[in-house]
Amino acid sequence: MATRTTVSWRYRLRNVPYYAFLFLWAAVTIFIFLWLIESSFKTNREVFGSAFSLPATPLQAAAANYGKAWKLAHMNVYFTNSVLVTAVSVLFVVAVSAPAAYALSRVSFPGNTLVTYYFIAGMGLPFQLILVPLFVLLTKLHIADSLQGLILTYIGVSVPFTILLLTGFFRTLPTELEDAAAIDGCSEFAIFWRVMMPLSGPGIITAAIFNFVHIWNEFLLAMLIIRSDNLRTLPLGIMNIRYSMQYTADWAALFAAIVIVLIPNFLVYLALSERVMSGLTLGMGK
Amino acid sequence: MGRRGRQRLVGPFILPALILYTLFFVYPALEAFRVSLHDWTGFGGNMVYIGLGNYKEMLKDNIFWGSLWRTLFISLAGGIGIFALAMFFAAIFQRNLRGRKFFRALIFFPNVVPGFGLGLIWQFIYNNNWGPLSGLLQLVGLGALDRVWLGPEHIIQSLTVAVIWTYVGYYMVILTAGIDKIPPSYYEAAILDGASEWKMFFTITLPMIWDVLAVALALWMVGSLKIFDLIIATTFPAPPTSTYTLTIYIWATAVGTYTPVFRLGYATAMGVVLLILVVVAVGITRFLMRREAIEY
Repeated sequence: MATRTTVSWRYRLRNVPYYAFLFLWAAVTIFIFLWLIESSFKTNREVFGSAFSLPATPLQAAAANYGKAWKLAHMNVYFTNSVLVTAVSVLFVVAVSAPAAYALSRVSFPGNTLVTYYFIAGMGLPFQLILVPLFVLLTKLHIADSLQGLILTYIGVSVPFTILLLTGFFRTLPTELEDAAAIDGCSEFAIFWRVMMPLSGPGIITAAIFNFVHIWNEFLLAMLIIRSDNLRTLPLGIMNIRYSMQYTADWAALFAAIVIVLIPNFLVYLALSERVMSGLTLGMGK
Repeated sequence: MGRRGRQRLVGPFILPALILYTLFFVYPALEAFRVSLHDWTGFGGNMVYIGLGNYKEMLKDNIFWGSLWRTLFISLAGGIGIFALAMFFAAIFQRNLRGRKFFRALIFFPNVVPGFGLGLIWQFIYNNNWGPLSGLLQLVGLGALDRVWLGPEHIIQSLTVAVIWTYVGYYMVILTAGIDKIPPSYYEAAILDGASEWKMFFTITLPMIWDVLAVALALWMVGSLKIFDLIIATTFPAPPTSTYTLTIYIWATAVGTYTPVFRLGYATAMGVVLLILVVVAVGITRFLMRREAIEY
């Protein structure tokens, strides 16, 4: 008994440097975000003063900064656009990818492997490659500089990852239920819709969360496709504020704008962090 | 398997995804190869066929080589940093530390935040006049260590630090999942044999997660070559050419960071080079990892 206590005490002691490192890393990360929030409670004069001073009039400064970001810098418009674009894109990419992933992972047909590879190959394609031809295509279809164009693009480029994730998920589901339903005379579509879909909740939700994060944060394609101010999404919005700051140097309002963009991500993450992280490996398991 | 009527599902189930993906992703990617063979000065103007002219121009373009070098630096130096740290975090999370979930979630958090927002934060952190990094160094009397963090001399290291901090959580989560799948009995047997922790890491952990590590490395190679938001935001709105990576240079050449450049053919040709880099990097990663696995 005595020796056991010594061992576990020693074992714990050896954890000290690991804890120290973890705390240091956590402190830096927390500091960065806390400091961002704190800065959005400062006036510009304070922002440009000492980096570590506390705001003297936090509430007034915050009201001014957030008010400016929300109204004057049109973050209210960008926020609505982002919600619309993200919601519609996520809905459609999951709606088209789930049946495709189901067919690819559970029905054997000639060319199955080939089509699967064709979809997954898209994960290696850099967006930089398609910038120019995509813009030409959208112009020809008269949907450049429109939310429709942006949404259709987001669906197209999100299909590969979503299919990879969902085929990985569908492969983990048992086949017995399908077979039983087929013996009971269920149509193949009914098997998919009534038997498989209710089982697929976790996979579908994970796919939706992943696409939400990617599309909500997406910047490059939005910057290419959207030109009009009233169609901008949030990442373009903060870009625009930073751009106009060449003349105004209003860092405090910029920090407020960044905080506005971060809030939905933070809330989603707070509720679903375990699912987001476990989803990472969903597409990888065989 | 073999149920009748099943294959009739395949067409209607696959087609919507196939059409959207092909039209808005694959078609532009294929079209890019054709565009890359042309000189094209604006979406309104005419494309002039110049064969491999754009590629030949790249060979003599110092900005291109500089951008390529910085891209590879971030990929390799950042990769070493990220995988060393991610492996370290994943290994110590094996030890049932208290607050494991909290630390894991916190380290991963930057991955769910818009890269452009993170880049702007880093732009401010690295600001010499009022940023907290320089401020902190002055405060603790290490002012001599202060550098022009975003100047041409140091920017690549500064960016790499930001990149490591941002992405390490992603690979940590993948490696942790791999380690969690190793049966505990392996370690119990090794402990009975009196193996040290280092020995267990190299003889159990590493070989057991080798496949996961290979996939993670390939993901990093693809991802790192494509990093854009974080980098352009750190230098926005006017990144000097001495700070370009390939993705920034492509963007600047295609549409311009804030003054239009519109060298569409040249930008697209560099996009093709980026794709080739991605394919080669993944090939090399898989080759290296496969050989090691056979040796073991």
